[in-house]
Amino acid sequence: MAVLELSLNKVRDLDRLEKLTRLEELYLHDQSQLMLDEDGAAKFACLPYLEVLDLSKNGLYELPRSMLAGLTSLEELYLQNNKLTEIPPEVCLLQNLIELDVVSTDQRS
Amino acid sequence: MPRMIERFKEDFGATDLEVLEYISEFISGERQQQFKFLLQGRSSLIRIKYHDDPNVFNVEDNILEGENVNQDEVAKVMLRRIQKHQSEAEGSRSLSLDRLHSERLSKELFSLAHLTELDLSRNKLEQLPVEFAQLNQLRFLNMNSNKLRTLENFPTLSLEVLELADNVLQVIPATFCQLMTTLRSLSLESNQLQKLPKEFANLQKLEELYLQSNLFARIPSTLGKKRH
Repeated sequence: MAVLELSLNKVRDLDRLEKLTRLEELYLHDQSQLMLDEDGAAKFACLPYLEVLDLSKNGLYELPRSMLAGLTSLEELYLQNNKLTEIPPEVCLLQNLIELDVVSTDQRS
Repeated sequence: MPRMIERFKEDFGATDLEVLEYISEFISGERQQQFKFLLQGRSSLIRIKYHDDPNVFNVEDNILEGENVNQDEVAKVMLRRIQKHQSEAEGSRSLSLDRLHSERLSKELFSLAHLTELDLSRNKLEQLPVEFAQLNQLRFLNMNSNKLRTLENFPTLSLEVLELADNVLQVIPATFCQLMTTLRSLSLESNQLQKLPKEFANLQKLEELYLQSNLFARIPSTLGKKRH
């Protein structure tokens, strides 16, 4: 599986994400109840080929710092329309990142 | 009014117009271009409703209104599209029977065993008949915006891209997953799915899966089978 589009569902956690090791594009925007904790965030380390990640419009307050570390192939990261107050500094380690969207996420710092 | 319809047919080369509601004095130049563009590639139209009012003019909303079409008329149009396809150059392996709001398929379709692409989007099909499985060379099948409740009688030998968005599917049957092993791309967008069966792992060639706008509370568990 290379592309999984699951937007506009009611996904609550990222259980089983670690099984999708071949994933290149993951669309998970507009989940009404998504909780992204350390456990869930750690699962992204199992997706070394992920190039596009869309987590916009999920009401997220923070991104666990462990989340971005393993995403070595990431080119596009969409976080707009959440409630984030900061972006983890690990985003600077994403050497392939081309597009980062954090518009209207209540950035105040 | 009838003269207007004749003129319209001539102007736009639309020979299969079934019903035409033409509500305006004339069509100005710009509109004419828009209509010509729209009619390209459409061998038949069920119904045209045209308001010469810039506020009303919205191409998709305004042109084809098929909600209340007569099914007998629709069957005729479908048959004509099939016959036109049969009379065309032998090379064509692609057929569009889209936007007919039809509740059933013509029997004549099932003999077109050479088809590799078939567009049945925007009809009102609730299920496919057994004979549909005879279309065994199909590689692309678009059934978006129908009323499918079950997934039966798909041809199984070569289907690679299957579009099932905007139907009323609540479950994916295990047999479907066991049979459709050639699929590369599957769209199930805008249905009523909560989960996938464990047999989904049989779709080992699947590269793209579209599940947006369903009722999933978890990431489906059976996607992760490694290929090879």
